[in-house]
Amino acid sequence: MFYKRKRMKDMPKDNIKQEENFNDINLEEDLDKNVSVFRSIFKDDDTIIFRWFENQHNNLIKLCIIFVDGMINSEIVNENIIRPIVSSNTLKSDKTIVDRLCNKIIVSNNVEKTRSLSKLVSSIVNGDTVLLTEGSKDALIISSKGWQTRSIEEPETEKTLRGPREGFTESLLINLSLLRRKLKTSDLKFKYRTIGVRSNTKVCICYIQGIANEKILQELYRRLDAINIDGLLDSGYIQEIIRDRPFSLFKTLGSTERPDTVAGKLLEGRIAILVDGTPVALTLPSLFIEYFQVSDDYYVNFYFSSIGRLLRIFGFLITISLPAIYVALITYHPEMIPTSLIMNISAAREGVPFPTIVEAIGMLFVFELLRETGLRMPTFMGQALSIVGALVIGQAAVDAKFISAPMIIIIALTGITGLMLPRIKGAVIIIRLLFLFLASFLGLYGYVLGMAGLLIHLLEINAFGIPYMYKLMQIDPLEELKDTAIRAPWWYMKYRQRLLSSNILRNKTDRRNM
Amino acid sequence: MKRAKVFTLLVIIVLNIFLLSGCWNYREIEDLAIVSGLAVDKGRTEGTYLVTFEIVDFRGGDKEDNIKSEKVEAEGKTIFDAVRNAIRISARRLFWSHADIAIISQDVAREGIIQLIDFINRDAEPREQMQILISKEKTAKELLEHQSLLTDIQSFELEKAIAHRESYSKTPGAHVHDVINMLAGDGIALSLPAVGTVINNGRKVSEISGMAMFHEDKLIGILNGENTKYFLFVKDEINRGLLTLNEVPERAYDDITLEISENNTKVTSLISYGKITMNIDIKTKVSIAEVDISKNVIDEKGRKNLKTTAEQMLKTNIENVIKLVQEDYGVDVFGFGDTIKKENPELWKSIGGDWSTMFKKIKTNVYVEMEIISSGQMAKPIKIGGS
Repeated sequence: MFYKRKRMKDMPKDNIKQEENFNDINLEEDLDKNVSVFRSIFKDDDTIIFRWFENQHNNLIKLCIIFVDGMINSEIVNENIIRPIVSSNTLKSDKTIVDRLCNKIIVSNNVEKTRSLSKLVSSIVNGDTVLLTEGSKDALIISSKGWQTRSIEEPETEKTLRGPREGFTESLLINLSLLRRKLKTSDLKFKYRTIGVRSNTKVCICYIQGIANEKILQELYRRLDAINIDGLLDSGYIQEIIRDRPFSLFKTLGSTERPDTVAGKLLEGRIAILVDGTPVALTLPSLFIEYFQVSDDYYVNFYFSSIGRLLRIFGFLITISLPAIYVALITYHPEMIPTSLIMNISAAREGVPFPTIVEAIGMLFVFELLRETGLRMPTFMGQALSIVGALVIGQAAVDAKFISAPMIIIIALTGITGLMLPRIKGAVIIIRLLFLFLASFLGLYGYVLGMAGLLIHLLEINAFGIPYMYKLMQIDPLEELKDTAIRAPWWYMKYRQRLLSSNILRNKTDRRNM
Repeated sequence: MKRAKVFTLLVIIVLNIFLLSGCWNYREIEDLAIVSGLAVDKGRTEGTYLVTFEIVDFRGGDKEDNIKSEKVEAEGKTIFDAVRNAIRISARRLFWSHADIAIISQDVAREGIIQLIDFINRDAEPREQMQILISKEKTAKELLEHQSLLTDIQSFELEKAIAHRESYSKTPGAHVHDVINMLAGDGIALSLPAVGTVINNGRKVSEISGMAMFHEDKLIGILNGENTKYFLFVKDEINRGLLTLNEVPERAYDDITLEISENNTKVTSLISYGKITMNIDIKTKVSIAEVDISKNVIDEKGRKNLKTTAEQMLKTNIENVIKLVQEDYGVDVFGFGDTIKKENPELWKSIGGDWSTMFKKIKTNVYVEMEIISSGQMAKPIKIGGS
């Protein structure tokens, strides 16, 4: 932090992208010259294919197509571009040849005529085919994208008991089609942005016009336009860069791999961002309560989903509080523990060499180690982990009097409830440790202090201008509480959230007509 | 840049608050000796106390059956002195919050129990829910030393026996806060449960029965268990418990047991011509719990008979207990003075100072109204056929 000024001076002054100035170069009528321009641009790149050919009836018509090997569908190039041009007997070599090619010869759903060199270059790397013609300053960009994509599968991280099983893939267009299939309305808008100076990643902003809040949309565009980064490999980049409260533990953009979740959020008036190359879509603004909501909630019976949500909230409280409360009670307030329980705990701790707080931090560390190992190691080694985890850490450590048995129970409960909410996992680990430290210094006072701090922090966050704890802290309209810690039956949820949407009426079903 | 420096400094200072303050009150649970109960006797030298602590012993660790009780004896000039002296023996700090009972020997109680009550109430750790008991034996210590029957810790067992007193109704209960109320109250004398030794299955065990009566904080005498039951009727502290009719002199009914299912006692004072009479209205609901076969008590006539006999028995016994207390001990454990004070504060102002002599002469009327509400799961007694 103190060396910042010095480092700034050492940084090179130039841009993150070495400016390739194509603007002053224009195509000429000489095909050889044009091709050599491209050759110099794509120097040392052997995947670029230059394919020369002529018309069989008119030798004067010389053409060259340029594309990237592997990114095009060769059937389109062969059958729809090369074959019609080569076999055409009506082509004449004059000024209008490019228009004629475009309109009469080439069989493609998307052809564009342009002179801009930079546009041509970018379409080549995007998987399109560029057609250069002898004697013309114009070139054609013919859509011929074709590469292998993963098939649509159920997302591993967001499995549901009930509901659609499809998940996003790495292809933006497939993802958009998945979304469009769920919301068949012309109000569903898709806006493209290209982000990443080197990666030129396509980013699509989706919203439903008339439902989405215009102010949030403008704010989102403003923030997206301010991004100036070399590459964008996952939506996580955007999530981290444009979020409110960049150093907070809580995210104001949600992420999901499920099209039905995104569609649901769009219907609530939220905005989604899909990024090419990643199956993870972002939804915003994301409020605190959304950590505890899953798409199942809306598909299964409202009693079960309400219980599920309450369990998740309770689990969150347990996982951040349990070690802290245990340590506080054991070391500062033994009078608060029921007599028979304190006798058991005291007997279990007899002979354990470490103080309670060291025990707690140690066991938390071990649990996180096991979790991280389980995540990173190849799946076929899983058995070794469960043996080490269950037998060595659990049974043997207690028998050897390294750890007291109640501590194992506490940490196990903490760990399991922590895994229940994978989306808030990172925040939970840090909050839990912080609470534990506070409790070990100040007892329950410390824990309460930490909890108060956490609440204050949560209450002051704004997600794109909307209070982060929105709906949780509102008592006045009962309407706002119908989709929070509980989920009301569908026929009761008549309105969207006031702040999120410009059109709050969503459901006019009347149960009395059923 | 400057903000970053200030921020860093602030973090360092805030962190130091935690580190410099140390761990306030931090203590490991296994370093505490959990006191389950204590017994207060007179010390070996004049003017000292001998305090015996029962502490929970975990030496066996968390294997089964390894929680035992251990006794620590310490002498001191005051109770707290003895408590601190005990650390010299036990090496661990005594932890009081889970202590359930305190037994006081008669010798100590005769000289006053206020010192112990004050310590328990003043110190931060002991709870006001602690039960105070008076030993019927020579010392209080021996009662703690009896082997407990079913639990590992004698004090907890005694506390449970008091907690379940509703079922037998032969002892009052007295938490520390009740004791303080009774001590401080005008027109009511302190009464505490008593505990003695009985032989059970060839082994000495502690038994809770009867009550100790106090004048101010000094022990006056001890009432036996049966009399205590009738005392509890007057105090409206009966909820359940039994009435057995074999005590009726003419033995009209043998061995009939009635189970009290509800009782309501109202004590009112009646002042006429300068004389104070206490009216004691007892409304009790009983059910027949155990019947001899010799007489039918189920039909209407039999039931009526039973009712009048039982009412009469209850009335006589209660009158006897009041008389006994008035004549032999002369302390108002019933709280009659308290009733007068509440109903007639003006009168109390004039007679309050002289209450202890007045109590002995006060007249009481006992009215008993009994209702037999059920006969348990059987309607008729079991018939024995001719052989």
